[in-house]
Amino acid sequence: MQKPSFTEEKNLEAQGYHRIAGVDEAGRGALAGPVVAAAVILPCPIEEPWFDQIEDSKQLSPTKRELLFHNIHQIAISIGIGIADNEIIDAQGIIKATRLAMKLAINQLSPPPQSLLIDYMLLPEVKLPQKGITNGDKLCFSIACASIMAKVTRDHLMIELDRVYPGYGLAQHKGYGTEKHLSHLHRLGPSPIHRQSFKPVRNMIEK
Amino acid sequence: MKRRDTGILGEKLARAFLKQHGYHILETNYRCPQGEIDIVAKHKGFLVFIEVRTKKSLEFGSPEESITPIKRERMKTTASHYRQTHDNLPPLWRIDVVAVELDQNGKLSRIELIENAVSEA
Repeated sequence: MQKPSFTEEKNLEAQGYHRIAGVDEAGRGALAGPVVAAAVILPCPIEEPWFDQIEDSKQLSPTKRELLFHNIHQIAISIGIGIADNEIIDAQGIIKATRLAMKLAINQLSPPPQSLLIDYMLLPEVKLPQKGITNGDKLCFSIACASIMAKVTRDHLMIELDRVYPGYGLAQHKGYGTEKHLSHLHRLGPSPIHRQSFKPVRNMIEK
Repeated sequence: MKRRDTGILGEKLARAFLKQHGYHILETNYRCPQGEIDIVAKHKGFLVFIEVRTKKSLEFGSPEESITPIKRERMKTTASHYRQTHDNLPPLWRIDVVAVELDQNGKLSRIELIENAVSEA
């Protein structure tokens, strides 16, 4: 298993950018809840004992992810979180909503970034040098850290939302289309935080 | 005099001393998660991070000897943090130490500037 590296960060540093934000999102494929983006500027050089534990957030156990979330929080130069809820997703489509969440996350960074490394996509509306990296959360350290921040923030949010909209098991599956989620959805019908533009939810409504 | 007061007096004396020597002080007590730097200044085109070491004469060792390798690493990390979070800084930088020695009555008995005390290597 390949670990995320600093190759992209080092390239940008050599070009004179010393505040580089990694950007990633969580919850793009879920049937309920928001899409959450995180932007993270890390100190450089970074020398922390937990540093070689960083991986794509999907490869980490929830406990480990939570630990690293706190570690990153402690040492980051700056962290921004952006959230686009299910209504925005339904109104604008998931890609636009994801871009919006990413822009919001980047705008929160203080001091502001000088360049961006983004998982999979580009943000033409953001006037900063940027690079989209396929599998960025596996390959690039700053994006992997952003993916952990986005994922854990969203998980916490879904646990909260489970209290507001009980019965769907949101705290367990976090809104993703698991078998259990679909059966609850079938039984209860969609909640106000379900994405009605997503096919499995739409099918429930039309039935 | 308490240890903390000794430190505060030392930093005050160091700031005055640095100003006399043409240092333009940008910030004092800069903190980041990895450490703290007493004084950040500009001096002849350099960005300078300054650690002030204050001791009373009867204690063992000179002030500058009291910087451990761990402290050294922390200072470098903190310096990097400052450089990363501030714009329009001189590209060249170094870390200096001001050694302050006080006598038993808290009067200044020695003050010395050691330029580039913590080397890059």
